[in-house]
Amino acid sequence: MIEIMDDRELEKMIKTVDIEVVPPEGLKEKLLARVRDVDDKTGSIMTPFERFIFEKPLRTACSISFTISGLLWAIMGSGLTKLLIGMIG
Amino acid sequence: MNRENKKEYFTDLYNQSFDYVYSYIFARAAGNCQLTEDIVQETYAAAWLSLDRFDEKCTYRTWLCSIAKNKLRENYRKAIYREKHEIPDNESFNELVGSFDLEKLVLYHEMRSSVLEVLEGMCPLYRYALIMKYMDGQSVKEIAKVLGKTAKAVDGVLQRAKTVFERAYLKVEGSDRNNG
Repeated sequence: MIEIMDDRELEKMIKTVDIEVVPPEGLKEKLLARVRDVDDKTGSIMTPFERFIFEKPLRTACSISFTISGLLWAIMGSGLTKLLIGMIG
Repeated sequence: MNRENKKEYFTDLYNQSFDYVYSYIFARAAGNCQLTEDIVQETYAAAWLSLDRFDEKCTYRTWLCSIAKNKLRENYRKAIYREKHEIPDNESFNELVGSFDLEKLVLYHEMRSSVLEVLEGMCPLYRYALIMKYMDGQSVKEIAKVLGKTAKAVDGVLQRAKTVFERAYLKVEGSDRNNG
């Protein structure tokens, strides 16, 4: 039966891994090129409007929701609340 | 900031931070080079997309490391999900350790190399739990939140992970001594 290591000893051992290492040669340049490639692809394919939707989906959803609610309120007035209450109740 | 200025600014930051971020991810990926490469790329790609939102409340390195941490978390969650029903028992772990390349083992004289090897050979759940607890110093409660388990369950996972780690480490060290 093996005794379980002391927590401190284990922590010391595992922390030996957390040191600065030298990345393989050429990797830095390779990854930068890949990141730029991804950006160039998305940048050239998407229009600013599409980028806005892609990068800020929550903001887009809120804008659409407010616009539709506003339009319905403008058209129906207080009838909108009655309709909503009717739908819920 | 126009696109060209942004590119230049990003390249500067990339060059300044690359070694640090690479090392941060390398340790938490337990020395898995391919995984490290993928996470580094994903981290910088995400950083590029949200560069405009970086508010300089923390250093650029800290910001990048927090992105890397999230990417690692996503990756580990997927790996844990994949291996949910395949947690290696002691026998299969012994087989895993026993199947290490003899020549490769000769190189593992230092404790660090052995620790890396053992961590890399463990199942993702045990590896990630040990890294979070002993490398990042997170509490059991915090780990439970990340893994979506109860604190009691995480305690059990940590206990089993420690046992597996110790057995595998002794095995690797023993083989190392025998081969050296």
